[in-house]
Amino acid sequence: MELTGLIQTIFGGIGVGSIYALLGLAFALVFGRLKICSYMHGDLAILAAYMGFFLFNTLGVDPFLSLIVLLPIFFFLGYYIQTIFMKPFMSMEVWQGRYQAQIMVTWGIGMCIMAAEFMIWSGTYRIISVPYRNTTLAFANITIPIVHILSVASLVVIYTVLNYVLKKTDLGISFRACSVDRVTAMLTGINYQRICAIAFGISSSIAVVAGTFYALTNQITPAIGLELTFKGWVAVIIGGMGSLGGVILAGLLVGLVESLTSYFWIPALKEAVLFVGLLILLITRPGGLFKSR
Amino acid sequence: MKILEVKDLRSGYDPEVDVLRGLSFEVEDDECVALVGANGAGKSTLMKSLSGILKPKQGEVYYRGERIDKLLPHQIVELGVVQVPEEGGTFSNLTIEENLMISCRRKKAKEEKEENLHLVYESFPALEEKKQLLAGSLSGGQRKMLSIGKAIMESPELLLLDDISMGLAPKVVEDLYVMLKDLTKKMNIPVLIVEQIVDIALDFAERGYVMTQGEIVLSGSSQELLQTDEVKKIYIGI
Amino acid sequence: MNLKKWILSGIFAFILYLVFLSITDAGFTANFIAYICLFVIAGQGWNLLGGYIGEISFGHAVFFGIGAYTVGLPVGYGLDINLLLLVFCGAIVAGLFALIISYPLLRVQGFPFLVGTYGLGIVVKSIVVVSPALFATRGIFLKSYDKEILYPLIVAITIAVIIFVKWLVEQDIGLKFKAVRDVPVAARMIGINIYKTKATALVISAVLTGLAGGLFALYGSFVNPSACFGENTSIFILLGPYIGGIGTVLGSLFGSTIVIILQELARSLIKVNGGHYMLMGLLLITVMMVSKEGIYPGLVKLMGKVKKAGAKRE
Repeated sequence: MELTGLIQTIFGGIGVGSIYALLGLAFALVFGRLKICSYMHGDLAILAAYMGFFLFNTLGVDPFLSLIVLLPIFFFLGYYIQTIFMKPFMSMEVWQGRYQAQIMVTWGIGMCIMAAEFMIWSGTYRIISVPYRNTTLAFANITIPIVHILSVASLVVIYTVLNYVLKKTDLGISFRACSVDRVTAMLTGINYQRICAIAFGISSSIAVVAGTFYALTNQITPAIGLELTFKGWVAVIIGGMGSLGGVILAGLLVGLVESLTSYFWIPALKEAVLFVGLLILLITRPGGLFKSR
Repeated sequence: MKILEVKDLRSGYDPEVDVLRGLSFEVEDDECVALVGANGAGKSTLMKSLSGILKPKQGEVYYRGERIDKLLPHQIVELGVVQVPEEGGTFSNLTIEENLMISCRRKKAKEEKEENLHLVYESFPALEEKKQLLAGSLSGGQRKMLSIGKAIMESPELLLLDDISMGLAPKVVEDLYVMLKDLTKKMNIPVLIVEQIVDIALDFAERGYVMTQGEIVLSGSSQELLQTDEVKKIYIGI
Repeated sequence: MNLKKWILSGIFAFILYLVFLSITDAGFTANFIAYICLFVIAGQGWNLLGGYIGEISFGHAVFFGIGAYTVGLPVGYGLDINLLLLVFCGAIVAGLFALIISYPLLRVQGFPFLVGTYGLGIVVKSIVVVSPALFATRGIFLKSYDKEILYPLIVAITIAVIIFVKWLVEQDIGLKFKAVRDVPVAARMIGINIYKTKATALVISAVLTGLAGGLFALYGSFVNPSACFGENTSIFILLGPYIGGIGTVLGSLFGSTIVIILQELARSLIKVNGGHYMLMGLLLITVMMVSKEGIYPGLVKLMGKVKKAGAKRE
């Protein structure tokens, strides 16, 4: 029985981790390549979760169906946030000016999003009570929530699609070109700012998927946004600052650490254990666990 | 017809300091013009201002009578003004083929893709052999070839060459210019070339300008300029 | 010398405050000024690391909380020690803790540092929350300290801290800070030990923030995890210098004041849920979009431009 519980916990951890991995993926896409720092994707995810909640409660739309509407909305939201708020900083010196400015602006936007959620939906914990929320698949003694399976599957799909786009399409090649040399990309005739905006839009859409799955497995409240942002960033740091595959593994690891801590020790300490692990990692391998190149 | 006309251009990196101090010159649509000057004369700043990387503080740039100094870099490329930059110019994380294909962005370039690709591979056979390799694996000279090849793929109507010789061995530079001469003759396009090695540049171009400290001090045909003291000074490096 | 002017204006400000205090008799305004002063001290501390070294910390509540708990814990265990002595002990303990924690934290810079400091905040808060020995979530009540003494003391310490920071950044070490921030490679070339310089800044920063925390314990007569170690505390400490003008003493002073005043105004005036977050968010966005360096340097620049334009006209 002990073993079953452990395996169950591991599967649960992977399920939760896939949400962090999705968020990490959203960060890594714009951070690792285009050096854009965002501090609001957690809030975007929660905003999407609330919108899904709203659509489900008022119109009875299934959260997965509402993704059809939310993905484009958030794509354009991200696109215009990048063009309006981030563009002035794109030509600045890296970490010193640009990162700090971007962090502060996106954090400010994140705060506004959180405040808006407080105003509309108040701080009460909400859940999207879809009928399949508690549906599980059983293998032998182990039960796995169907939502977890779906979130892992969507992670795989998004990763595959992203990789295909980056490798094969004109957009992806332009994107890689922009990531290695901004000036040369401009001289080649690539619209650098547009590529950045598109990338930020895609990254915001990924956050929507993460938020939807979060809402299907957890209770949501506005203040959770910043926390999610940080967990996504932990995945990026552990994953080696920007390699997409590494970020996914790291995100799953974050989920595992949390669920194993809850299983073996005190649930209230799961975040503390995670960040202690991060600090230890920073001592031993400052470059991240799955450093690429 | 004038293809490029620069009027009283002022430009610089610092709000207080102008690197280009009121520069004027022009390029006809059937000629090859060289801009020569010593280190620090502002040649690269000029090229950056022409391509839109650096916004000029004052003055106007006209291309075919149309004002381009307010446009963004990719819009200038779209008009047909293509630059081979002094540094970079290639994407080290893309293969050579991807590098060339990504440069096909103008409408005209997409129509002429096959011919241009053929022309590039014909002029630089080394690139065709390695087309599946990453550009990062190329030598300095080959990278310059790729950079020129990328400009060709764009079907340029005015080619700007910024210090092709930068960081290359003299022999490689000579070979590159022979190939370039051949190429531009085949494509029949006007070229504005900026160069530190004065004799090569003036040999390549029909007409030239001499730049000192952000201003044009002399202009004339290549033969005339080669005889002047100013050019000789740059030549020996004072 | 410039510093003399600062000391004189400091003394002048203090006298002004004493006059004010004798008139109003330690009422609401005096209370509020003391509250602002606490965050000004912490903000000055944060600014040493965030502004002069350029490493953004999201976890200064840790040092703040350590300062507060060093005062609170002995009281909680029934020990009778001079509270002011404890405040200074708290500053030192916070500094020692910073010295230890600098080892892992300062191995990284930039973004990982930011996430690491946030993580540190979470870790320390969680430990306090689950430890009965640290009074968990219940917190500790202190005897209320005589306000007639405490308020002038807080103001005096604030003025002293501002002058100290101003003095410090004009010393060799201050120049080293800026060198490490702006030209790290060149700094290493001329023999500056980057790690040591950063650690120095972190420790001094922690000492000042710990001092603010200790005074906070006296001021509120109560310490608990969410008030002392909470993320909101970190955010307030950080926002002040950032909005006011990162890397400037005066800017950070203005910023902390503005942030706390706005925060309290929003809390009492805007009755809508989350209204004060909206205000902070909008303020942050506006400041960043209008003047990247913050309000104070932006104003200075504007004044310079106005002066220049005026000179041109003449």
